[in-house]
Amino acid sequence: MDKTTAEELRRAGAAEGARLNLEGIAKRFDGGSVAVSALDLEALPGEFVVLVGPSGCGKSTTLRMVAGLEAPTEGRIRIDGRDVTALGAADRDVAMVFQDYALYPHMSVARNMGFGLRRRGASREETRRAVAEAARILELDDLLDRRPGELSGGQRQRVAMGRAIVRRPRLFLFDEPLSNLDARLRISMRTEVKRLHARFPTTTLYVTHDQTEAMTMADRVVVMNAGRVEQVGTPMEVYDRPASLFVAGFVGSPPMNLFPARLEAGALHAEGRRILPDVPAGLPDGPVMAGLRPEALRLADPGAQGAMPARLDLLEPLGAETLALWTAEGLGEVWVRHDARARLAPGLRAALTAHAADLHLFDPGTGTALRSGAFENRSAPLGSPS
Amino acid sequence: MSPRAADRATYLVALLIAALFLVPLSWLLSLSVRTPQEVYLGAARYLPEDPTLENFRLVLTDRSFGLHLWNSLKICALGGAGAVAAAIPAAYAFSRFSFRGRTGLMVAVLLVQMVSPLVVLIPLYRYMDALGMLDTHLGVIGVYVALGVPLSVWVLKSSFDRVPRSLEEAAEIDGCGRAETLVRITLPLAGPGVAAAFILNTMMGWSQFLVPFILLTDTGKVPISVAIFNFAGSTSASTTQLLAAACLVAILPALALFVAVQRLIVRAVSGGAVRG
Repeated sequence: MDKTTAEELRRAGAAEGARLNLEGIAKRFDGGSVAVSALDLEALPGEFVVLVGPSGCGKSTTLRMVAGLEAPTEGRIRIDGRDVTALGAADRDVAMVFQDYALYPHMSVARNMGFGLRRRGASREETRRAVAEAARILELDDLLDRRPGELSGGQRQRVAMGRAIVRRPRLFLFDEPLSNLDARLRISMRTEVKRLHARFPTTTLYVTHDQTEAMTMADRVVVMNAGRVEQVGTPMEVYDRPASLFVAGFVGSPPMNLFPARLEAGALHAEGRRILPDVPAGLPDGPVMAGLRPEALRLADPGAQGAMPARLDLLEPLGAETLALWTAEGLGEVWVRHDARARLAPGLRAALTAHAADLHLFDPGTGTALRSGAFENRSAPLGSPS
Repeated sequence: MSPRAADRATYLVALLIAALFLVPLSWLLSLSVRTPQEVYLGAARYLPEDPTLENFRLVLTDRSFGLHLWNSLKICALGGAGAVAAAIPAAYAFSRFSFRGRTGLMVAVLLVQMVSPLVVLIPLYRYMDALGMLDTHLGVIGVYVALGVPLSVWVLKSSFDRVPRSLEEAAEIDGCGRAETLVRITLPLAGPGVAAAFILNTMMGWSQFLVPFILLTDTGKVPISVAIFNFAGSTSASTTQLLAAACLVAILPALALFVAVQRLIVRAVSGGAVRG
């Protein structure tokens, strides 16, 4: 791909994009099922916002409401302050990349890409030029006369993105665009989407069920569950300070190790063992859900204070690191991230330990995080790119 | 039953069914190449001793035969096109909108198909009389349209169902309204279904006899099916061999059309998704 030039950016005219506001939007379907309830969200001009959550969490419905393909039951949608709730998709100046790409099978790649411009009154010549430029950026020059049926999955994906950028819309919407690609292609397209966003910094709303995709692509991540927003934050905020048990269990690969425990006089007890002696003070005694990231657990001398005897069950060597599944007293089954060179073998008996500063605590009833601020000394500051 | 025996049984049944249709056709062919004398020998001489193409020559050189063929073609094609045009909005609504009583309405549309034209012919005759459309091609075409709509709605609905909704949504985002989306995206992609519905209607019209027989009296306006009947009843001379030749020539266009497009029809009726 060519190097981005300032001239190209200027011609793109999309350097800022729109501000998107969702104000208390809700969607109830005729059968009474609630897809989205009272959702508030703001996407700043040029921001790349990823909606992530398990299937059925309402993320696609939210995106479709922004696109104008679905009408919200309640609430307002504003694009640059203008209320577009009652407008149809055709009048919102948004572009969308669909999961199945939704390329018109009976049209050539060039016509697919130029269709939206032509429908909006652009001349044949203008359309041709815009399509040629988008095709050059996406390296589709040689495919312009082909039909979508003659393209590979990755090429179709690029045509779908080309169709979106040709129009220079105020808002880009992506509905799980990479989920039909194989793992390798998915990673390279991930990079391509990010590069494209760097080139056309248009406000983007991107839906995925893949938390890795969300973490790697987003300026801000919106974690959704059962029609509600669980947490909004930068990828690192969401990772370091999950606002709820759901987020803790969803973000991270492998996710956070969670286990029921009790706070007693400033110490954490689980299965009758005192696991961590000096948990930051200020929480009342009682049951909690405790969480430790796989990288927060370390091998320890079995005699050390607070060391939990453990047995190694399973190894997953990943090359750069090795994931191990241990069964530890007090913790149950936990994933631990080890150095790839660590000498480990299934059946190994050892002990695990953790720092109280790495401990996450959640209310076992509501699932909300308790005193996540207690870890600020270890967590990266808010908004930091690390 | 072994797989082989099952195969044989299948072929046997297929053969029996084929025979049901092929025996009368071959009988027609046998009659059409006979001389008037041989016609009286009946089934005794299935293969004529002295086959002749004279009957076909007589039929094909008859000027009124061409006129009746043209009449048939005109009212069938226009009736078929009209039925498809009338069925498209209905089929689209059934395919894309969810509304109360949709399934019931779909069944009701099919029920209309079950009503024999015989039952409605007398009231139809009176309607057409009141409208001053008796003895006009437009009247017959109108009835063909009405008769063809139910089947067309079903065939078209299943074609529309196979066009992914996301394509229409993409068109909407690209700036198209409903009607434009239907014309530019959905209809071209449902093309095989549209063609199949048109052809099925045209062929059904081709085999229509009662409707044109009742509604048309001017002999110059009747389609080929009625013309052959009129011809058979108008003369006492032995015309069986000529009738047979005329019948064969009359069914030939429908037969040729069917052979040419049967794959299309099978695909439209049985499925086969739009490939992106």
